[in-house]
Amino acid sequence: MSSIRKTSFLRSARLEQETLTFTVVVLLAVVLAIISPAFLDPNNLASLQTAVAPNLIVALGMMTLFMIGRFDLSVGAVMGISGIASAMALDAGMPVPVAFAAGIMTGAAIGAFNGLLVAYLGINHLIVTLGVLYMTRGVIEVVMSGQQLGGFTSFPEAFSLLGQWGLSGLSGIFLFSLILCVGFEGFMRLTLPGRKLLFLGGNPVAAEAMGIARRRTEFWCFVLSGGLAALAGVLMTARVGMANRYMGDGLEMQIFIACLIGGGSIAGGKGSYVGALAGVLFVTLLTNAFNLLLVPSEWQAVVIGAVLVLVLVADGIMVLRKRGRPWRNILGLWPSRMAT
Amino acid sequence: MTVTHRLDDTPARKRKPLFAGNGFGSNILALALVTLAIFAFLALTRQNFATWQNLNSILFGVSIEFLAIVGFTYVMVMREIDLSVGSVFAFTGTLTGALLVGGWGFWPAAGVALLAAAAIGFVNGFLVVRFNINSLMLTIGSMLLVRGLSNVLANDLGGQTYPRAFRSLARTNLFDIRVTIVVMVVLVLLAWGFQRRSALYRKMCFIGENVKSATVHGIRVGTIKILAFVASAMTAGVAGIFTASRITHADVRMGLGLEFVMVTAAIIGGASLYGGRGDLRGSALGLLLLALVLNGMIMYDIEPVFQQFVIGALLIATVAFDTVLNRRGQ
Repeated sequence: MSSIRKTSFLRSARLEQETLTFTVVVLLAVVLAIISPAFLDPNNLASLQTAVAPNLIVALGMMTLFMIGRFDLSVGAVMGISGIASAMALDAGMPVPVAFAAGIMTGAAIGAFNGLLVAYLGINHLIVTLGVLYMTRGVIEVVMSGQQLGGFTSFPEAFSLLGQWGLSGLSGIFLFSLILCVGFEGFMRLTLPGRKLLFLGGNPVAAEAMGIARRRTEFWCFVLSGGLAALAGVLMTARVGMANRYMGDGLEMQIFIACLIGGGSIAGGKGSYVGALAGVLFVTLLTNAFNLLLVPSEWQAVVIGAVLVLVLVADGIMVLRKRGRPWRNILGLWPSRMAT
Repeated sequence: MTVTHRLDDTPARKRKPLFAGNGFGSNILALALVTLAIFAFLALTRQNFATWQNLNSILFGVSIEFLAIVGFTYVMVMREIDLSVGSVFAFTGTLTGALLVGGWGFWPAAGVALLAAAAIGFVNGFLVVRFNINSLMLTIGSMLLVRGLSNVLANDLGGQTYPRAFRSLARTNLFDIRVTIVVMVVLVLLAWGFQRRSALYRKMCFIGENVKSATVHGIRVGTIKILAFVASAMTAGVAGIFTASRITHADVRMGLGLEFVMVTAAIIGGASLYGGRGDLRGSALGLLLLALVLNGMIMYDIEPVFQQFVIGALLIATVAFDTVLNRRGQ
């Protein structure tokens, strides 16, 4: 008699893909440390931290949306405009907390607009967030059209400190983003609303039948995503000390890929915040590798696109396997034409 | 009883007139009227709008974009989407130019570039069909990938101008009009026939409406979808070759954001993100409408950076309209 196999911890905690990504990240780091002596340089490590921190904060919001089967492509532009908003508020002579709040509110408002259109009007989230991405970039160009590349450079001490504090070599915003990540992970695993997110993404119809307010949850998830992107934008503006119109340009694709690699699925119902961390680390290390090995930046887009396609194919194969399709049918030369 | 009633009912329904009802081609007339109204408004309020030169350049721009939207529209009919068109457009044009600079003849260069485009389209279609991947996601990936390749090529060229013979290609005239405009008119007429007469178009609509049912009824869903993706990439490639010839040098900004202009135009023209509908005549009118609006904004001295905002807003507005219409239909 065969005994029932005990489910492994990784499977029961749904951390299989996250572990895989973490392993790849560690391997990548080791390889980089061996082939490029500059990798372990303190300067490089510091710049890695500041690259990871905002991406991770944005990825937390994106991962929340991934769990319920949505995504937000406007995060990069939101990051840019909220940094500009807080810089403009400071420039107008407002105190630091008000300026901080102004930045966050800008992002949350854009998120609310996204959420309104997606959740309550039922418009395709890709189109809405893409349109908002275009509109926000347009607004940034209009606002910054009189300025130099980076306008508003004189910030009060307290604001700059927001982005520049540190603890014995560790960057403050990096620590903050890690704490935020752990907090979100705890929320997702230990609390009922957190579990509801995954349930909603996994089976929206069943979740609605159980009394979960789908539209309201979606709406607030979009607000959260906008707010977190704004937080990252404001912190980065404080860090670099100027409002940069190109901040967050093209970031949405990197975050998107990070979430997919870190275990999220565009179909929803999957993903964890630890996975978001793993994915962000992977994407950041990849970018860092390109810079260290002096590969032209155009190849970065090629590799990121190729990685995205590979991840999607792998995701597709997994889904088909779960539906019980035989390997021969998925990879064979002449599969029978089956209704999907 | 109800069944016989229904059977009796069906043949009694009269065939709808060409431009009425909510069936095929119903919104073409309305769209044409809106476009005409915008045209009349601009022509009456701005003197330098209705000049031969301005209109010719608008039509020329539209006709090149139109070449790219041909395949794209039919991909949308089947409830898929191909966001890599803008990148394929840039890649094919730049590759043709690069080969020409490298001393190739025009036909081999264009042929190789188009083959490369077809290969990209085939990979897109194949992966979508075989692994049942959401085409929206997949083509975002191939958009990034192909854009990267195109930029690598453009940077290698470093802003060199293409050979003279290639530069004059887009300026070829046929009956005193740019050849692409003639091609556009011919293609619109052909598409009219294709959409009214062809079983293939009906099958494509069927696939867009209900994939499972189409599969059960023996339609080769996979083959048709892959062919549509190949067609989409190749038509984008042809448009890219003309555009490369028009802008005369390698440019990394070529075709940037084209895919969203095309989604907007196709949806204005009667296609739907929910599949089952789509009309090349409408797509052409949609492109013309967008071009008129953008040209009008320039005529009214609205800041050019604001165009991005308008395109984004138009995209959301048309899709919102599409969504509301579809919900009512269900």
